[in-house]
Amino acid sequence: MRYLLYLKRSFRRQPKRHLTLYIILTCAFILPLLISVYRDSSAYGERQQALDMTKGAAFHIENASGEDAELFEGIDGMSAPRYEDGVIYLRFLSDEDWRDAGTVERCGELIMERIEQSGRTYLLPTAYSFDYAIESDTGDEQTVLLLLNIFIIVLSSFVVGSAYKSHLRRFSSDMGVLRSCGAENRQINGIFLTEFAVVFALSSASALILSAGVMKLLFASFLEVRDDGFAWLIFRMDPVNTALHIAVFFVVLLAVISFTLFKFGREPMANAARNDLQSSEMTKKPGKLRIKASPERSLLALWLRRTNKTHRSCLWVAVPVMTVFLFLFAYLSLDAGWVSRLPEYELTVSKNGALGGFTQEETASVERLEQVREIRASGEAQNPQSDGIYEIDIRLTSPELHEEAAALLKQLFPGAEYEIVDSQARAERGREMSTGIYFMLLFIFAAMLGFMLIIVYMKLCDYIEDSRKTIKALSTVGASNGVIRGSYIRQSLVSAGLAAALPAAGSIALFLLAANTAAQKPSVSASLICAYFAVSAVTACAFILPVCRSIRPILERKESIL
Amino acid sequence: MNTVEVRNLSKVFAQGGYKVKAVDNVTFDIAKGEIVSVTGQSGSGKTTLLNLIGGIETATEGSVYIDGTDICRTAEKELARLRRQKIGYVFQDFNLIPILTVEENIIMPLLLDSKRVDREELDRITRFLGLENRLTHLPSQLSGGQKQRVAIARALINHPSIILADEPTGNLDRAMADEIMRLLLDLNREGITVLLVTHEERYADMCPRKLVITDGHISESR
Ligand SMILES: Nc1ncnc2c1ncn2[C@@H]1O[C@H](COP(=O)(O)OP(=O)(O)O)[C@@H](O)[C@H]1O
Ligand SMILES: [Mg+2]
Repeated sequence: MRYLLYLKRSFRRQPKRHLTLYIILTCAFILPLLISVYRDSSAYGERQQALDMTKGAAFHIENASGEDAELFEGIDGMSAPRYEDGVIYLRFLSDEDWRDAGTVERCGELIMERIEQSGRTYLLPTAYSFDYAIESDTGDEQTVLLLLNIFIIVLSSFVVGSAYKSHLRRFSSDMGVLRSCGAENRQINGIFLTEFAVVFALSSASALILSAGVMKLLFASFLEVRDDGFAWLIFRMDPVNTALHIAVFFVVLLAVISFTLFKFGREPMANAARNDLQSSEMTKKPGKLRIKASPERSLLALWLRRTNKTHRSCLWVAVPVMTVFLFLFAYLSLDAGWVSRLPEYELTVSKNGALGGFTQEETASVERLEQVREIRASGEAQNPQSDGIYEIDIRLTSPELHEEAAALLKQLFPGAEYEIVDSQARAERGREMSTGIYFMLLFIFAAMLGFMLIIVYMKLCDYIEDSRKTIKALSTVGASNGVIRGSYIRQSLVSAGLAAALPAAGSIALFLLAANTAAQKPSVSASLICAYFAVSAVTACAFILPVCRSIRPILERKESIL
Repeated sequence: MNTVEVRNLSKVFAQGGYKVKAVDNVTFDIAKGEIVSVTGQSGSGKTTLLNLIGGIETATEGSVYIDGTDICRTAEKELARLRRQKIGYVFQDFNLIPILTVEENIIMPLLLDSKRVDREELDRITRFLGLENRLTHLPSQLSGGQKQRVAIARALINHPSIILADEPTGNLDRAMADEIMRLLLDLNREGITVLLVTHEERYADMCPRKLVITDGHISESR
């Protein structure tokens, strides 16, 4: 208990450290949670779309009238036909039958037979499989998202783990003192694990509220899709899925932290209490010290050779985050640009092939509409065997007229065999959605960038703190403040340069690869370049600011440390 | 010209409302080639005085002249140059750079001046201090006495006008302390000016001139 009080006091002295941990964990959580919400929403949307389309019925017979219903009565294992809006619905009485592909096929044949025997060949039957209509089979995209999520969780666990490690190292001398006056490792570990549990609970709750709130907002204003012609997307947060994500995160992090604590516990006491952090961090095989033209350069070379470990680990965080950011930004803006590209022909009318193509009369009536500037009959090309026109692309005199024209076409072609596609509306919807996607990206990367920046910031502050002894010795030996600060800032500049250059190269490579696979022309937009420079500038600040900030008190309060 | 001239030097530490006059209106000179000891109880202001002379701390009042330059009226950058070219500092806690080997620690003042290393000179100093077999060791691999000898070597490398030693024997056992003291006396015999702060009368008595500091006031004692 005495030990507990001791550590509690030393915790209180450093509230900023706990806050930092809290922010790091929260940011680390947000991305997987967002992906999880997106995944749940897309699965739910897909499910709702299928239900909406099939209405729980295995067979839809379109282009029907009320009298046609009696034709399908008394099929073994099927419900009585239900007529609604020109469509007859037939459902299986048991899901077992529906699930069995053989039964579905047999019934389908029976229905076709009855249609042919009655001579009512204008009826258009469609069959829906059980999988499609009822079972929420997870599509490829869903699996990819899940794998991506697990990958992100494991990766960020390691980054969080390394941040945790430097957090624990701050207390290593306390731990040494405690152990030397008789505290057991078990008690010490208990304290830190309790701290972890509290921080974890707080940050997972915050991340949950934050990501659910932001996603809900984004869905309400941009992302929710219930339109035909798109995959449906409806906001949904599956509690089981979410809990699973949190549990995986917790377990992986707990493992990483326990391992670190275990390692600390086995360190010799003298080592822990000595607190000579810097020489223990030093590279095993130091390069030779070289005297260069200016002291800043000599010292820079020295830092790069001997004490660059922290910078390297910062780069291991910064470079992947930046690379993924730039790549996704480039790729998604390409994708969004493609989705929302305005169509050449704003509307398309198509006719179901079984009943023959459009008549001359029909084509002419389309051309006569005052909103229509030009039409293109495109059915023949797609279906060379047929002799008619099955698809008419329509270019309007002005794109704004698309709704009006679509309504007129609907009047001209009311039958179920006709389909009218409003590509203009789709493109406009795509534009709106891509705004939503940009906002989501912005949020994700704000979280990721925050995560990266705070880790880099924390690590570099600690790095300068740990260099206190070196800085002090240099200063007394006659290095001016400018030389000392300059050498450390140069070291940061080297890292910042790498943090800016490597992701650019990496993401360009990834992007070219992706664009190549997707057979799209890669292009670089002004917004991408702006984003790149903005993010690079912020990263550079994250490398340089902590040095300036932490070094100043060491240089200015020289007397108190001597 | 005296190597060091201290004139009406005062240093006040103001911390949380109350003030400590660590050094109070101190005046004295040190001639070239002298070895002078400063004794006084713990907290009497010895370290503060030495830091003021070494240009590590800024005086509240008064002046310190090193070879005629008033270091209290010198810019930080110039002061740093003075520290590495004119002053050799030896601390109680050695103040070595943990990531540098013995040799690298010794030549650090040269590096800060971007000067080439004179191997012969380096060999002479390390041999004199008995460090020739330790050049590639890290400070953490050395004993206290060896660390202090490295610090002395570093102080010597730039041929300073004066060596300021702040309780150089404080962290050492008797045998090692005696040895370091003997080294300082040897150096002085070779013509190097030394200002030695110590609280051990035994070592102070080895110096021909003794100063005593009491609550920031200095007095000559003979
Ligand atoms: N940075 C500082 N801030 C406030 N007071 C200080 C500081 N450094 C020294 N002092 C005070 O100045 C006085 C002299 O200290 P110091 O020169 O270290 O004495 P000595 O070296 O003789 O033991 C002491 O009372 C000490 O508390
Ligand atoms: Mg002292």
